[in-house]
Amino acid sequence: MKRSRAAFWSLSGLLAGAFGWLAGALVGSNMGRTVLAAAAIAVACGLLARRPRLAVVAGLATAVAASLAFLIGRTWVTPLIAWPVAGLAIGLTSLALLKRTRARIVTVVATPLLGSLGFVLGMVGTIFAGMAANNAIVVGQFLWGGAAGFGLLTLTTVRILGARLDRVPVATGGAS
Amino acid sequence: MSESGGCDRRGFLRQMMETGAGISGAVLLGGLGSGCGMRIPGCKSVPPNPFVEGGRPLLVSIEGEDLPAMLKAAGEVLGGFDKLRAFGREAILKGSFVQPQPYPVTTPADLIVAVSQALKHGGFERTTLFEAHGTRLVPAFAPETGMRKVHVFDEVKRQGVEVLAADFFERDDFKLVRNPAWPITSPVAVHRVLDEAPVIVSLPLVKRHGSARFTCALKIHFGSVAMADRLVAHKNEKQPGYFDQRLVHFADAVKPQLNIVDARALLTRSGPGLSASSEIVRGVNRIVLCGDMVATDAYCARLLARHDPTFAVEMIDRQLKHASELGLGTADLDAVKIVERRV
Repeated sequence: MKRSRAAFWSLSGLLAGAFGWLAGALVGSNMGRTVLAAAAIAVACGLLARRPRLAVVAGLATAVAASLAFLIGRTWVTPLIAWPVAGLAIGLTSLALLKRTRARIVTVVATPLLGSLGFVLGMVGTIFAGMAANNAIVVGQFLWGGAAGFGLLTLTTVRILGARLDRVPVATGGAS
Repeated sequence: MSESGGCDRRGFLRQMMETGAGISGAVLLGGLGSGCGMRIPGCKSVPPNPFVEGGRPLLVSIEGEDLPAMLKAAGEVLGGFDKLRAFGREAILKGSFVQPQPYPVTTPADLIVAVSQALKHGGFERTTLFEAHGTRLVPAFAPETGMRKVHVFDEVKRQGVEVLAADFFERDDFKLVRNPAWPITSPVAVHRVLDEAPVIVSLPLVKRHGSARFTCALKIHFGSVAMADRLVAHKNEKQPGYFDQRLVHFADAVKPQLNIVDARALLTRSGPGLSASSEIVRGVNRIVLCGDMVATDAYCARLLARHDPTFAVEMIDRQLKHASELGLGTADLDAVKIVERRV
């Protein structure tokens, strides 16, 4: 039962990342897509926890953090640091969903790390899939794959850590 | 995470997620489907080559040492650069900056400035140097970095040429196009600026190339398409004909109105960058101008073959043949009006 709920969070994260990235086409740049995808994942996290206000706050906070990180990253390291920063923002806003200190600490630390791992895996997976299929369109969407992978592992992390480490009665479909 | 209420809310949320999944799936499939055959526009159509004589494309090869004077002489033979002015007020100058190494690996600043001034003299109001090589996702490999390292970026801007250094990973800046005549059916993502530009003047160099054997007027357009297209082309370079066809498709997606080849020096034996096995042949002192990409490559390949014993024109027969079949020009130099002069 718990497994299926975690899968639901994972799928939601993947879709939020992928759909947010597509919606970013309205802004028309890698920055716009990154910010919207990250914000969509944060909103999905709040909605899955049945906390609409938190969803709004998390979405805005993540959008601001990702925007700043992207802009700073343009001159320092890489704009892709927007992803771990967005993961950190999501981890911090999800503290409101957790009761225990250990769960909070682990979530704040693990969310950006595992979210970034998901981003890298999604990106690499998309490139490999596209190259294997000789499809440059798919290869060119590697950041889209990264956004989906980030959403998948970020929400999976929040959900599973919530279930494992936060021994508080859970919402149906939420973390325990 | 708080305890939830009733089943209705749960059902509502689940339904929302399912709807979201459905929309996402539809958009995803629609997006990828568009790459599989639907809604992809054709390559841009351009007016006929304005530089012809008696129905034959005109190719001008000027030898000399004073670049502005060489360009002026070439312009006079072509009938004036103002012939291009009828197509628009602004011209894109497509340079080549595949490696941060000086001429003849990359397009030199003096050629860019001289061409810009010749075009402005012919009535153009604005000229913009374009190249898509690099990404802002890695600041050390930003698109303008290569141009800066070879001192082109600041120099041409100082001389009134605008610079557009495009990010080859910025997917939204590229437009998918396709020509039904291509044997490789996949579309090509060409930069929107090139797709929309009324006038493109290509500034190729004459170089050897590991995968293409030769790079000049056709191959330069690897720098006009998204990196993903280049990666897939390189991945298939061992497949007979694939790479040769693909580089022609990239050129088909751009179709410059004029090619101005800087052949004052040639990169021979190996390329496209300078390496221990490559050799620069100086003193060729020639520029080649032609509105026909295929004729340009056919002529410049002969020029290279004269200076590079490891190269033969037959090595690019497949490229030239395919480009001719697609109507990009003629590889038969007997069908080209060639004017060779010295100034």
